[in-house]
Amino acid sequence: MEPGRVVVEVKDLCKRYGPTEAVRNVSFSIPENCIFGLLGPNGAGKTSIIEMIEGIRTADSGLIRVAGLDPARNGRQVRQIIGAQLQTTALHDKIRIREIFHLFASFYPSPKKEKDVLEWVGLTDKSNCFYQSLSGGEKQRIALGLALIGNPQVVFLDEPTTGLDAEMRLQLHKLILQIRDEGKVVLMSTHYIEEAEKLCDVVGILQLGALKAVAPPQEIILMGKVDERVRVAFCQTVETSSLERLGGVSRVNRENGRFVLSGPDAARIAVSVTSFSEAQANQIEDMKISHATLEDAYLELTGTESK
Amino acid sequence: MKIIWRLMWVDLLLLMRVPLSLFFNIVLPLAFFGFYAGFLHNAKGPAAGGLMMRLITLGALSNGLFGLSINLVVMRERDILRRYHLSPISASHVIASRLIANYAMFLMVALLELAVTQAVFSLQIARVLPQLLLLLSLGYLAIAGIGFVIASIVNTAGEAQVCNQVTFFALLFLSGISVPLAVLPRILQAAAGFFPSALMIVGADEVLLHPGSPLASWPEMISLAIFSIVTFAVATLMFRWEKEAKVTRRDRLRTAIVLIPLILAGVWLNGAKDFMQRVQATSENSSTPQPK
Repeated sequence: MEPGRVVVEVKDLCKRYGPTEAVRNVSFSIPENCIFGLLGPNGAGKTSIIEMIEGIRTADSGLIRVAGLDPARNGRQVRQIIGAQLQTTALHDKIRIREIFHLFASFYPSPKKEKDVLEWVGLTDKSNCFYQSLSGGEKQRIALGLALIGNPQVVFLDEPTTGLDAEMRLQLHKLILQIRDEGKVVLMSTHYIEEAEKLCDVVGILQLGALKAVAPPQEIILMGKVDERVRVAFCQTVETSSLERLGGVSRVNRENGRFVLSGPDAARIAVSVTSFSEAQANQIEDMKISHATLEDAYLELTGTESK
Repeated sequence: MKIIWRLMWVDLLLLMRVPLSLFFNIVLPLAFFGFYAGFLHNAKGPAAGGLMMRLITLGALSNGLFGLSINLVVMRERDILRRYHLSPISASHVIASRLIANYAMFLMVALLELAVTQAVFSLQIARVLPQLLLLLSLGYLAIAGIGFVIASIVNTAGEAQVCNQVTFFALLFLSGISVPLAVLPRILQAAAGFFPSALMIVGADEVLLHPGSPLASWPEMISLAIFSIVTFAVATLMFRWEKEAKVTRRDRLRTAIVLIPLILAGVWLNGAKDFMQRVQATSENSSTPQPK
């Protein structure tokens, strides 16, 4: 594959379920070596988009290409080059873990070695266990392993960490980054903002079936035009109005005995506050700078009050 | 082929590990065999063979309708088929592998029953074994085809239970297994031409009664082959991976097209001048021997 080549392309995708417009004119493209995250609340249309790209759900209109192939027409060829983890994976209770991987490996033209995948997802010692005896986290790792057994070019992960404890979630994050580092494309959905910020190279923010923004997390933060904040406490009394006049400050609030100064550039506010402190001979007791986060931008872009 | 064999192997392993599958595929047919063993002891020649064929047909009904069909619906309901759907396999892979696994199980039990009957009850079937196996296999395929069609037109395992129960009892009562066909009213005897289980028994009796004639049951074999081809084609076309993909009344009506070739085959069979004689002849094989 040539570097930077577009592997997944989606254009004007639409899907209705009865009167509900689940996906509305969604367009984006994913280049190779990229983790693309669809971020949105439950019911935003993340799973519908993923399943249409996988070819297991039909789109009402729009264009989908995976490595140049149309999943609706070339379903089998597309499924040979993709690996997918469903939101919930079900398998036979009385099948052993090694048998699952042995079976699914036989479906693909050039699969990975079952032993390697089992080791990679940390289930080598469980290979003789029945599926029904595994914990939720282990089943999630099986699902991730099955997404990779076919040595896919594109990996779909639908809310891969939902329902996992913190430790398991961190382990999965490492695994997802490793998949990208192997040169694969990852399309994942999540409703955890911090997960998207940490893992994704590009994030698409979905609300009510429509994409509000598609860009790297840092660009989305800028798009959100969210004010940065400086929390400061002085040793002596200060008038709020004097702080409002400081350079770079657009708003001043009081919160737990501290002043919260908001503005587009936290660094400029900090410089102004330091100069003010020196000029007034009023020592700074405590100062904390908060940059805008993806969560701030998400809330701003989607018009949501709080998550 | 690798995909089918690997799926089939897993299906076989699961059949052996799941108690319900073991019950319908092995325990139930063998329990009936044990129950009928007393009758077999008193039966002679074609009559003993006829009883055996009825037992094997019962096994095919149990395996094809309860084992095969309901199991597939449960896989869909539990989203197991959904996971398969994400990999590059087709409906025909799933259908073929499940069919082969269940057929292997059916054949194993049938051969075991035939071997025990041959050894313990001195039933001489070795000469006609190839014809019998061909007929039984076509009969099994036709019944399994019905099971697959039912699996494709129901939405839940509960619906599958009801449909398969009704079909099981219809095929049981109108086949000569529970009541000899020869004692049924003429209209029900004619109906035998439309039921694969009845065709299995009429055909098998014909083979046993005329061991020197290798093609004694060719009309039944052709009918069963038509049954199998049509039902498998419909089952493959109507195959659903997802429980959300509900079958509508319109889909079900469309599936009713499957009945047209089957009705034609039944009419053709009934039109054959000796079919009724063949149905009557089953009485020689189905009359339960009286204890000595």
